Amino acid sequence: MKQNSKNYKIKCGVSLFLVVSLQQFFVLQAQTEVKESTTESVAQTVTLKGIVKARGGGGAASGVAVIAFPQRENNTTTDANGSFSFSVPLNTEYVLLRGAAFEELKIALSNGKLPDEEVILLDPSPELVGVGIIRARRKTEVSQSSLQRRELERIPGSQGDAVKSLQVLPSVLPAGPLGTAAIVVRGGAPGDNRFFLDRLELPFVYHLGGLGTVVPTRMLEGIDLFAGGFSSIYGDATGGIIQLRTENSIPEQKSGQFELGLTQSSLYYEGSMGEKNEESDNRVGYRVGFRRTYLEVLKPAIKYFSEKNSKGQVGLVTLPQATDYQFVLNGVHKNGTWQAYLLGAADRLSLVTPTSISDQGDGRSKFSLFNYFETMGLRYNLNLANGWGLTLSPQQRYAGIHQEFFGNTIDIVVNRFAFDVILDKRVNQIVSLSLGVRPEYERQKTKIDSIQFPAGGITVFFDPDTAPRNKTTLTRDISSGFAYVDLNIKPSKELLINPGVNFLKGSTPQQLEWDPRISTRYEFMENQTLKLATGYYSQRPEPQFDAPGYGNEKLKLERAIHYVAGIESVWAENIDSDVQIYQKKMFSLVGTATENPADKYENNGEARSSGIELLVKRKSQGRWFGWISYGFSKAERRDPLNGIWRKSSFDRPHALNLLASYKITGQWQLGTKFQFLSGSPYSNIKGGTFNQNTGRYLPYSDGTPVSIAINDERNPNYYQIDLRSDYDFLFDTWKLNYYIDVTNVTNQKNIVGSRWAPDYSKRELVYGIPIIPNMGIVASF
Amino acid sequence: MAYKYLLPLSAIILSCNPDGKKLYLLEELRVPVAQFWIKPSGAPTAEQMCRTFSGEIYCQQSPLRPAQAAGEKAYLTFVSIHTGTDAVKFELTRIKQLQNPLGGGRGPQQGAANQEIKPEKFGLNSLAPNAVTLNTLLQDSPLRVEQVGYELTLPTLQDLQNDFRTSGALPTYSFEYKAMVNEKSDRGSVSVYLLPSPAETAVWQSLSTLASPQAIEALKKQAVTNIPPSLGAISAAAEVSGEVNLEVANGTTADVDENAKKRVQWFVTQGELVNERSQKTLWKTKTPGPAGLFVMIRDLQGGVDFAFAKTVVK
Repeated sequence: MKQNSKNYKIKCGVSLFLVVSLQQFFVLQAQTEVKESTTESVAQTVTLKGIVKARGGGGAASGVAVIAFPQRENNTTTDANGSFSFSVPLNTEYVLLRGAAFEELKIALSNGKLPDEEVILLDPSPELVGVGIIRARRKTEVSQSSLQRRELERIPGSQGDAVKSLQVLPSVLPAGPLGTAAIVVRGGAPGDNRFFLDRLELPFVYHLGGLGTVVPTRMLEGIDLFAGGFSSIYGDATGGIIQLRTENSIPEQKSGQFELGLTQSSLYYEGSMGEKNEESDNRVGYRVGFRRTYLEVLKPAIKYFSEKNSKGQVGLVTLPQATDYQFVLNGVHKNGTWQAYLLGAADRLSLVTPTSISDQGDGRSKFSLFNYFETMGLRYNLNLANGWGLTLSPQQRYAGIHQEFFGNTIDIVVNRFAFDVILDKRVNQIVSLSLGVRPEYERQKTKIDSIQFPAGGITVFFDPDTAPRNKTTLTRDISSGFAYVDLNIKPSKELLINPGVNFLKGSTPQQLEWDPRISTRYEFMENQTLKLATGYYSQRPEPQFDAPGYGNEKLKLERAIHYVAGIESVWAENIDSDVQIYQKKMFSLVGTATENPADKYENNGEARSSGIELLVKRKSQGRWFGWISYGFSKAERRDPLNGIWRKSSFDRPHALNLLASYKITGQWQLGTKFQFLSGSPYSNIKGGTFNQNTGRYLPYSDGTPVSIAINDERNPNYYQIDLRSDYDFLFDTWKLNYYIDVTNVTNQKNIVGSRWAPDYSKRELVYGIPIIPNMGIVASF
Repeated sequence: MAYKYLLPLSAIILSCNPDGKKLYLLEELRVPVAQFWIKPSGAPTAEQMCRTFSGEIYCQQSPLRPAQAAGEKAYLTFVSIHTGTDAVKFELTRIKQLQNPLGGGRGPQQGAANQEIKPEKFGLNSLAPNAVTLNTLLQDSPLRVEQVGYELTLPTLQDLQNDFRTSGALPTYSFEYKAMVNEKSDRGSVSVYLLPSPAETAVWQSLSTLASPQAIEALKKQAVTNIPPSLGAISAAAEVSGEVNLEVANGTTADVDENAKKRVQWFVTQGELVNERSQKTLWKTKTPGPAGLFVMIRDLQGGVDFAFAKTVVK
């Protein structure tokens, strides 16, 4: 047992990022007082009162047992505000406070009174409470993985970023350089996924280049991934659904965080306005966030290293500049809840150094990217009578893409309005029903002066110098949307059947599909649940491909069929597993035209993927949590020109993640992650041939006149060990967290990519990042 | 070095060239220039770039037009550069008819397989090295510049129309070559459209009945004015040292425009170039001794010119 101590040493090392957070508490006035009983019958008793809080600004400690010693018969527990009040004999020597996640605290009584303190503070214990991966937050979907915020913040190597953390799951593979947030799900392409904040759809969820999620983890309750076979209520996407979940509640206290870093700063604040009483809750909760990177201030240094000291090793360096902001309101009304959202993100990318790919007289190239979105929406939940529920959700989005690179200019501005109407009905104990409709209207303004880029990974030489050029200025008014019917049938406690159908209408009349789907869960024996799902899924082509002028208006929707089977097992109180096998067939994918070249693009692409996934998790109990995830997969695309199936660019057959986090003391937590990935594919090019008309070398073909063997080779396997340590220096009302997140602890030299010499005579390797310590300090008040 | 590792954290590196093989540094045999020449129907204009082959004046044209008179000749020439002293062995390896339905590719196209055609179509008896009819040494050590050439007979307009019929699209002819010297080799291809002049609307209309109208329109927009870009001499001093500003003097159309329709490429026998694809550049010399320079310009329509020089690095 530990006495209530107030003495701490603060040690802070050199920090790469300085994170300072403040947390203010506006709690009920807290007092600890002892009153003697006034009645003679209990003259030998006293009443003990107090408020218990977590040391370090953790808020009220509810559910803490307060036990009087040596009698032990007298005890109570703290309420939601951390308050307690109970009578004890006058000869009580001390009280013991015992609560989950806290060190026990013994407080001696003096003359039957507690020490004259306003608040009793409890130190955290080394026990983990409420931490641990949850494969299915609610066991309704067949392929669902959820990570909670406290997990996201503790996964080594992901710097606390939500979407980066998804890469520890077996369904997810990196789509870009490792360490970034760009992901692919079950053999799809990065663009096959849909992103939501709660039910508010976002055009993109991570910043350009996968630098990080556009919503700070601090604002999230967790993140859900629906990797396949998902039900109709999530709409349509041939890949996966990624849903960021905010804490759908009114903050009980005001708190904030300010981050001041070498490369970025951010601000977060949450609280509530209004009052709550026994009759009504008129409070409105708010959460506000803002983040801005400023790598551009380092531009001179980067330019110096790139141009002067790199001896030509760095050929083209671009600087990203990322901004995001969030404003979320929560409230309740007499028949339900409501949330309002306003958020956005912007990314800029600019060139730092000259490049050999010049389009300017001085040898430089124009290269700038500016992508942004702003979206706002309202979700209004209404509980109606007789088991009916209604959700209304109007949404607006303004998004733009402005890109200029090597003589190509693409400007697209989209104004989009959508209105979700969802009607839920619990018909009886067995059947519940959900009906939804989402009409969408958008106005696209497009200005393109660009070469015609290929699509679909067709295995022909693409020569940007000689590709046809397109100049289009266009305004499109598009009416689209989807509607669904989703049934939940539970004929018995063990069986759940979830049929549904989704109707999707794209930007043109021919983009129209019905997508039936069904899933079932059956607990065939205790703690063993069989899961099956199959269904059709559709998605709109990327907007440039069906735009008149640049693209082909006759394009249809891209489609996929998902098949999923799995078993969820609970092996012990804190150990369970999930095994899934899947197959995904994608067809009608947009590719460069092969039947009629005048159409430019056709629905001629096919892809397929299959695999088996295993997740074994040890939930948080005692001092540690951890999991093992392994995925074996195969992802291929079919070349529409010659019918050859080739490896997808994102194909990595084996992906293994081992993760464990151990709480050494109440203040110190240590975690590590081991990651193994098969190497990424690349195309083995057998030399170059000089195109006299462009002045550039092209890859020498594999013997056929027009193609090379794309992705026929594979880079070596990838290994990485990450380490994260968090230590809390505790003070009465605030704490100082010092963390170090070390990426690639063993300094493994991993090959993450390659590029060919200009004449294709030599393949030059690009290595992943070596050991990188990322340190920070978080102060909470 | 630490900076190599910190950069990936703070910036996206789109292109990393760890071993730094440079195209401009002449460590290999290169054939940077291929040119088509045709005898003009009238006297050459002052704007045309012309040369005398076998006593007759030929001017560069692009796209190359079909012969208007029976038996009229054309030349296909190549320029090779390397740092040795031996003569380059040169041969055409294949002639192909390319289909370019989108009108954009002067190279392997998207679509059906390309068709190999016989050399006789262009008046060549074979593709063997002895088919070379022109061989001129333009400069010797330290940068050996040679020009080799083939005398061609162009298909008639009727042949061209037949090719349109058989291909169903606009045909482009690609000449593949291989050059060798000692252990070094370079291979590549040059392709050319055989098109009427944009002004010959009647011929275009007849072709449009045979090929995709969209492709015809696309090619019309690409048709150039038969005025290839030209370069003056490289302004290199007899002796240089340290960092040297290089410039192509008196170039008539050497500016590189935004859409990269004209493109410069420099070659040096030693040192480093700050920019290898700009009209002006900075040459950081490295080793004392004789050095060679070569620069070329192309307009992506087939028009090409080049200049070369030699100097001594102190």
